Amino acid sequence: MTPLPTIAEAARLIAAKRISPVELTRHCLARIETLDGQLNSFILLTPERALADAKAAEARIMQSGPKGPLDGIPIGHKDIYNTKGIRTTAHSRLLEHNVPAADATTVRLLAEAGTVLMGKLATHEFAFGGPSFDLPWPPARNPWNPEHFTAGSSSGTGAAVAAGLILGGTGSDTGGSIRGPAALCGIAGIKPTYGRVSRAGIIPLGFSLDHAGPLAWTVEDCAILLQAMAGHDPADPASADRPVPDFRAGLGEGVKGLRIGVPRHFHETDHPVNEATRRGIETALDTFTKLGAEVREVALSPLMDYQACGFLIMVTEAYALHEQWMKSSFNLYGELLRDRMAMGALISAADHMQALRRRRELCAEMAAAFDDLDLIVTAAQPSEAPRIDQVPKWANLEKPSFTMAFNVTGNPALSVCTGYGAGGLPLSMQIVGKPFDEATVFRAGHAYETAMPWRERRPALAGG
Amino acid sequence: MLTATAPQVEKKMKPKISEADFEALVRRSGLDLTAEQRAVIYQGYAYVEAMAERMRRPRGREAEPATIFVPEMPK
Repeated sequence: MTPLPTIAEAARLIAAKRISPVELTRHCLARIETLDGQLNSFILLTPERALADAKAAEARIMQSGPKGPLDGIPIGHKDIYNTKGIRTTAHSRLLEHNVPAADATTVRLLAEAGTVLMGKLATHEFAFGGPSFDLPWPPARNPWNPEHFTAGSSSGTGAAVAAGLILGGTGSDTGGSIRGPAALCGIAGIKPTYGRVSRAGIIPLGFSLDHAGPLAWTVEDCAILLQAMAGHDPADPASADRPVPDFRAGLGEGVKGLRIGVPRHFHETDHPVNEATRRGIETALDTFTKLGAEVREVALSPLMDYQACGFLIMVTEAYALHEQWMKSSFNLYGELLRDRMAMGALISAADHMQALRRRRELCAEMAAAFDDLDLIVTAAQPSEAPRIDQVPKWANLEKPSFTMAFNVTGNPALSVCTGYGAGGLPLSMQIVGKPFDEATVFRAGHAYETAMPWRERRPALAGG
Repeated sequence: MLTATAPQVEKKMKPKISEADFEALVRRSGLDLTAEQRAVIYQGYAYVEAMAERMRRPRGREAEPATIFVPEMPK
């Protein structure tokens, strides 16, 4: 089975009229037909819409050339992104028949950029409860080994991109839901700065921690997708009225002169990662050093402080949104979601407020650390993907995640593949930047990615 | 937002709140839980207690929360 090109490659082929959007879309549909029965990455496939979008792109391109690098590119949306006239379920029985009247801002922006909508992608229930086996749709599975977890909650996007069913897709990230699936599925995913991408029309989990962003096979493809998604939106009260730079302009500039801080205590003592992950991070740091970056240790508050702060805020914000249903329809939720979400009903207002006060301190600490740094590098996940049936209900309460810290502070953070573990499952790291400096994050991620051979390998199941 | 965690071998934490007090807390919240559901959530609540404890620390009265208030609402 022929693997898919990256978005950047496909854009060049489309512009040169060596491949048509219709051919590319039919190829994706054939791959979905063959592979998705093992992966469950799609909740809803929209082949008629996809072919209509592709034909429109083709006609446009034949007449006047592509409008940009996303014209005619097949993508999917996490099923918490509202899509006008297309069912949007949040992977929940409670929204099983929900059909939005309008597109999310980001859905509209990506459509205006010329993308082809292939369908809606699996998530954890309301971006919080998974992997669940008691919902109307099964959880997505990892294309590197379908017995293993994708992480969540942008699980369908991670699986579909890694398997080459789509060229890119959308995700959301409240505590790591873009970076986790990107890490365990061996692709790239960026949580941009809080305020960089509109959340309007995306079903919320925790207002002050929710971020929308893209996942794709390469860092460059994430930059292309984010370019279309970013920008001020008055419909989102947290949207930042800041200029959006050209995220690809500096991709080839390398990392020479960049100052990289490494909070090794995060991934060596606060939550020790496995040896393969630690080695992957150290090899990446050596690569950055050889490419001319300056790497040094940085100390921050314990990782669990960030996790506790983020979790307490997230679960209370989430519970406030779900309180009515939690009281009236508790058993319509999946077990994982309802048990985790119930914590939000049991946290005092004083404890919530102390978490908000701690958040201010942690944001100040992170801003101070970045005074003389351009980037921070740490783990994205503690190891390769565990088996999908071995994910504890209280996983993120028992051990701190590496990703929540940057939801708490709002910094942009990218997950990048750092190789493969003994079982052939992907390893990963996280590259974090200053607020609104996604361009430098992409620059470093691209420099690393092009220096290493990891993008040449696809899951065996997907023809790799 | 769930990420991977290797299978846990640590000893499970025990909540500080008594089961009777927890039951009262659940009743006050308005959640309609079975005894079995309450028992499962009670176990997880130990982690939430520990997280809340981490947030309580000496800080000055002027230490404000990280909420942003924009007085001019967009039209």
